[in-house]
Amino acid sequence: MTAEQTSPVLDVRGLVKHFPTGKRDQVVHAVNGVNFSIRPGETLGMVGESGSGKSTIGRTVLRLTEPTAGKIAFQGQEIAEMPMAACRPLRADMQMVFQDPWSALNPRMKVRDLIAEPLLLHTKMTRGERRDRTDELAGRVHLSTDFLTRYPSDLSGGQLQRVCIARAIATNPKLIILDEPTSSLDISVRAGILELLAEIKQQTEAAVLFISHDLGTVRLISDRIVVLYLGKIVEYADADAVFEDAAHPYTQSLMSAHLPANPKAEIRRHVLEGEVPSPIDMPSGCAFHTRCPVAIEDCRRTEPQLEAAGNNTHQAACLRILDGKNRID
Amino acid sequence: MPSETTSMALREVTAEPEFSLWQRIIGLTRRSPTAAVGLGIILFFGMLALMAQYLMPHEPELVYAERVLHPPSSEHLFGTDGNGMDIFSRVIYGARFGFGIAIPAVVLALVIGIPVGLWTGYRGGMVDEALMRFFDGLRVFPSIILALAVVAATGQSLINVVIVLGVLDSPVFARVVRSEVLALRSSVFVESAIAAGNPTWRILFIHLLPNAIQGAMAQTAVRAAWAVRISATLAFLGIGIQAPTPEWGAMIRQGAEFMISGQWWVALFPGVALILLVLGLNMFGDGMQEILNPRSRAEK
Repeated sequence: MTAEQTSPVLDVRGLVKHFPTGKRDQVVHAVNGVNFSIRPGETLGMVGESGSGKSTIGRTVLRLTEPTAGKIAFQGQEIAEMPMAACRPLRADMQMVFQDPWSALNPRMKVRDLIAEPLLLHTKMTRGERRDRTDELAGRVHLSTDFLTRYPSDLSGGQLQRVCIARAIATNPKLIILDEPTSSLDISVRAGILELLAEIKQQTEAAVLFISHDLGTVRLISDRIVVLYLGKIVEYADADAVFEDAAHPYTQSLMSAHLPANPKAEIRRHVLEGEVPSPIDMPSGCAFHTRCPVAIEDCRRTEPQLEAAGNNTHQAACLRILDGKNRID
Repeated sequence: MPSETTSMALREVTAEPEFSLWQRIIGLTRRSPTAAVGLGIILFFGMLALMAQYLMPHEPELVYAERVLHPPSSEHLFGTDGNGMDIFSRVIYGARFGFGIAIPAVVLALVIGIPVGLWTGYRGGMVDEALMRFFDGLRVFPSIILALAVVAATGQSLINVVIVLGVLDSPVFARVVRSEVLALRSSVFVESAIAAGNPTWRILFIHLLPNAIQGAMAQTAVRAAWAVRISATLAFLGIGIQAPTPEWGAMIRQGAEFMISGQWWVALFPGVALILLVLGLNMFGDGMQEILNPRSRAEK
C-alpha cells in the first residue's frame, strides 16, 4: 500500500483563521488560506517562525479554536462546521501532544489516570483492561511503571512528555498532532523524545502533523514538509527536496540559517533584513516581498500561488521561479 | 530510551515523607499560631456538641420551678434562667445548634456556589455577567435584613434558617471559584482535556474543580463563623429558633431582659460561648487563608 493510493486522513482546504484584536476593523491574520493533506502513515512537518500560524493550524484542525473559513476533512468527514458536541467522539481518532508538558497535564491527576483518560472516555474497557493497557502504554513510551502512581509534579520534563505521548496514542488515533513536542525540553532529553516519536511513527499507521520551528528535528521525522510564512504556505515538498533544493527564497534563507551547528541561533537576521511584518497589517502581494532579496516590483502587487517547482510533488509560491531568479545566493 | 528514568530520580520521588497527625498539628502551630488556637477552640466546642449528653449536669430544658434566676452556684455553675433551667447545661447543648446550623449552611453554600462558579467562569459571556451582577446585588443588601425577611416569609424553622444562610452565602464561594476558573480556563491542561475528548461536565468537575477549590476551602471556616453569628442574631431577634430551645442567640435574647435587673449570668455565659466559637472559627479561617493563599490575606 503506497501513500499515493490511500485517501488522506486529513485534508485541509482554504483554511483561514483571523483573531480579533479588540479594535474595530482590525484582525490578526494568523492563517490565510492554507491547503494540505496527510495520508495514513505519513508525517507532515510544518515549519515557520513564531507567529507564522503553525500552532494555530494544529489547534484549528482539532477544533480547539474555531476556523474563520475553510474546509477540514477528517477521514472524509467535514468537521470545520460540525457542532462541538458532535466532534467529541471523533477525538478518539485525533489526538495532540502539546509543546509544554509541564502545563499540559492536570496537576491534580495521577499519571496513571492521565494516560488512561482517553481510554475511559472513548472505549468500553473495564477498569482492569484499562490498567493493563496503561501499563503497556507506559512500556511503549519507556516510562517506568513506578511513575504511574505519581503526580505530574514528581516527573521531569522528558518524563512528562512521555506521559503526554502515551496519552495521545492510547486510543490508536488516526491523526496525531505534535505541536513542538521537543522545543521546551533540554537538549539532552530532546534526543530521547525524538527517538521515541520516530519509533512510534514506525509502529502506527497514523497520520502525523509535526509542528516545529527546529529544522533539524523536522527533518528527522518528516516525510513531507510545509513551510509557512505569515500564515501562508510558501513551500510544500518532500523533506529531502526542501533541505537540498529549496525553491522559495524564504525557505532558502531558513536553510542557510540552519546550517551552523546551532540551528536556533538568530543568525537568520544576517540573512534576511528586517523583522517579520505584523500579521495585523499584512504586506500586499507576496507577504515575503518586504524582506526578500530577489523581490521585484510585481511581487508587491501579485500574490503568488503554490506552483510546481522542480518535480510535481515540489511546490512553491514565488513569482521569481518563473524567470528562474529565485536563488538568493 | 529510558535515560531519564534513572534509579536516582526514582529514589528522589519515593522519598516523600509521611506526616503523623501530631507532626501535622505541630506544623500548623508553627506556620500559623492563630490557626492552631482557632482550631483548638473549634475542637473544644465540637467536643461539647458531640458529648453534650455526658457533659451536661442537667437536662437543658428541665424546669426547676423553685430555682428561677438563681445566680451561679456549685449546683448550677452558670446559674439558672428565667424559666429555672440550668444555663451551664444549656450553653453546652447550644454548641449543637452552632455546628448544626453552620455546617449544613456552609455545605449548602458550597453545593450551590461551586457549580455556579465553575460554570460561569468556564463559559463566560452573558450568563456569567448576568449571574455575577445578580450576586453583586445580593451582596449589596445587608445579609441580616435579607435573612430576616426570607425567614419571616418562609416560616420559622431550623431548616429554613439553614437554607436561607446557605443560599445567601453561596455567592461568596461562586466568586472565589469563578476567579480561579477564569485564570485556569485558558491553560494548556484544559485545552489538553478538551482535545482528549472530555465532555464539559468532566472538564468542570474532574479537571477544573480540584485546581480551583483551594480558595473556596480557605473561606469555609470564615463563612461558618458568619453563619453561626447570623443564625444567633436571627434567634436573638426572635426569628427562626424560639425561646425555650437552648440556642445561644435565643438565650441571650431572654437574658437581655434581666441585664437591667442585675441577673447578668443569664446573657453573659451564652454570649461568651458565642463570641468564643465565632472567634475560633475566624482565627482558624484567617490562619488557613494565610497558609493556603498568601496573596489575598483574609479578605472578609
